[in-house]
Amino acid sequence: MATGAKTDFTELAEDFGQKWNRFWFAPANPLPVCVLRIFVGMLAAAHFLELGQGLNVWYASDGVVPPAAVRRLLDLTSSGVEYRYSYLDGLPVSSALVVIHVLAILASLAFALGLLTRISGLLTLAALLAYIHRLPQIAGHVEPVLSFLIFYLCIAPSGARLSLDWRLFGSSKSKATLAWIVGSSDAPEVANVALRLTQVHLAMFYAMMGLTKLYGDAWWEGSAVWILLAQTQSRPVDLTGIRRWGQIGEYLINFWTHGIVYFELAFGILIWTRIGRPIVLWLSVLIWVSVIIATGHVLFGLTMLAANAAFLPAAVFEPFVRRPRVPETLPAAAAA
Amino acid sequence: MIAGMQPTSSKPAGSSESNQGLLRSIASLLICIHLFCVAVVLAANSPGNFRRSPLQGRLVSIFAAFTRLLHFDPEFTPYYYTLGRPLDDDTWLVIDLYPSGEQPVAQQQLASSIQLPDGGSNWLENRRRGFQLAKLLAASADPPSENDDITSEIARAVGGWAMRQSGNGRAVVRCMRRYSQPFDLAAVNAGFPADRPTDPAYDTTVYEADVWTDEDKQVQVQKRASRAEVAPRQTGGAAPATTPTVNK
Repeated sequence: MATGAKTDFTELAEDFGQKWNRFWFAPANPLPVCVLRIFVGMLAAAHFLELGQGLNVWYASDGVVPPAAVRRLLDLTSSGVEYRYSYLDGLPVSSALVVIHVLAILASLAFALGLLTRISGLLTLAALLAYIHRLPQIAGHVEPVLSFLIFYLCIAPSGARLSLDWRLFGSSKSKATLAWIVGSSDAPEVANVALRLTQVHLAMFYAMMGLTKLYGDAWWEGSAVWILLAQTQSRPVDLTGIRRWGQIGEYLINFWTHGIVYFELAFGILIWTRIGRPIVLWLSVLIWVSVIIATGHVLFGLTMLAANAAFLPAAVFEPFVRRPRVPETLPAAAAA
Repeated sequence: MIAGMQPTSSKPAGSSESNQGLLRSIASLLICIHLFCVAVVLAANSPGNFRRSPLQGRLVSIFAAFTRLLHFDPEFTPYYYTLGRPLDDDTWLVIDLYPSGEQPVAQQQLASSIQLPDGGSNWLENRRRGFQLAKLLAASADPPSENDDITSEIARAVGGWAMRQSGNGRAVVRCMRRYSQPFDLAAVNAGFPADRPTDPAYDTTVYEADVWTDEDKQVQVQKRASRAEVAPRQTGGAAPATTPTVNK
């Protein structure tokens, strides 16, 4: 009997191991991570361009909140060691600050173009983190999402397709090591690991966004979207005319509010189901457009939509890209 | 090594297969550790982070070297957008500047006034940063979670910056909040014009402090007494409503 139980456990462990390996280590087409790299690189560049508007005010060391004040505020609001390092802490309003900022934009554009992909990706991440750690109290909604997307895209062979690296190094066997370093080599297992990490992290992120909303009565009562629309200083568009629709308008606000919360709570579960995945992906377009209208978080909404591309199969992108000159060595199953 | 994460092939393993198995095991372990860290910091993310359990707080601080460094822990970012509290209403900073740091405000002419945020588009994050800093100040100025250390640190930083920019010696930093109107205008209290949501009646001063540069070139801050700390005036009539709606 004990032997039978042991066999059952062994089979269970074997089964779990096979599923685990299939989920994380099955070879995957790197095309989705390459497409994601283009989106994320462009969004990072847009983010840096947008940061440039308030560069001297917020990020210069002699800006509104100097680094010493940031550290004192962190001591007062957080516990433990901060582990926040930023090269911006030592840069006052100067041409050096502008040059460093332009370099950050160039690094993100190089990442989008797939030029020295892994290196430009790491530089983009370092620049992004420098701005965040310079003044973490006012970091926006988009930064945490960009951080993990760039981090995983640096692990992935995100320069394997649709990149300048592929043109420079991809076709030559003599440059295989260099191609691996810059991230342009076909590494189907690594592509899958990075894609899966993005998917799991994103699902957890949606769950976190949904759960934090449950702390407030406004999301339960269905009035949260109205409160956002009623902010005269920060709303992007004035939609308070909905009030004139009376009861229908109130129901619309309730529906809009509940829709956002239910979507965020359901995303992390339904995205793993065969039927649910296309539904939540289509729904996400609607939800994020509505969130952008209500809050004005354009970059954040676009980044979340771009991140959803991690859940799309490679076949979706294939019709839009030219076949690479080097024949694919992937097995048919992996390419699918 | 976790048994379930062994290479799944039942064939005799060659050297390369065994290496691949070892690599997968190491990768599996790293993935588990990484996702556990991320799951803990995301699960511990609550408004103001005040609802963390002691266990979550301890784990978040242990993982900080990894999660905070790479910003996987979005601790200051309000992903709830609003919770319907007065604290979530629009808040901004007004800095009135006066030339001399040695004379009190009452004896000087106002030199200029700066607002944070000032201008810009609500579709962009730059303007939102100003609101976020003001909300950070307001959150520590409201009575339930009052923290003079935080408010004075922000007032000192903002006032000091404005004085450096303009060459003035004294500033009054005010944190303003505008209450939002409810959906049902019938619920608006008397004294708050229903047809003008930007009327000054909706604005309230959450925090006010004098900031000046002393003879040692140090920036000093003195908080002005809040309304709650001042004895009410003896008047015959009923007190006016202080918020636009009954339930706020």
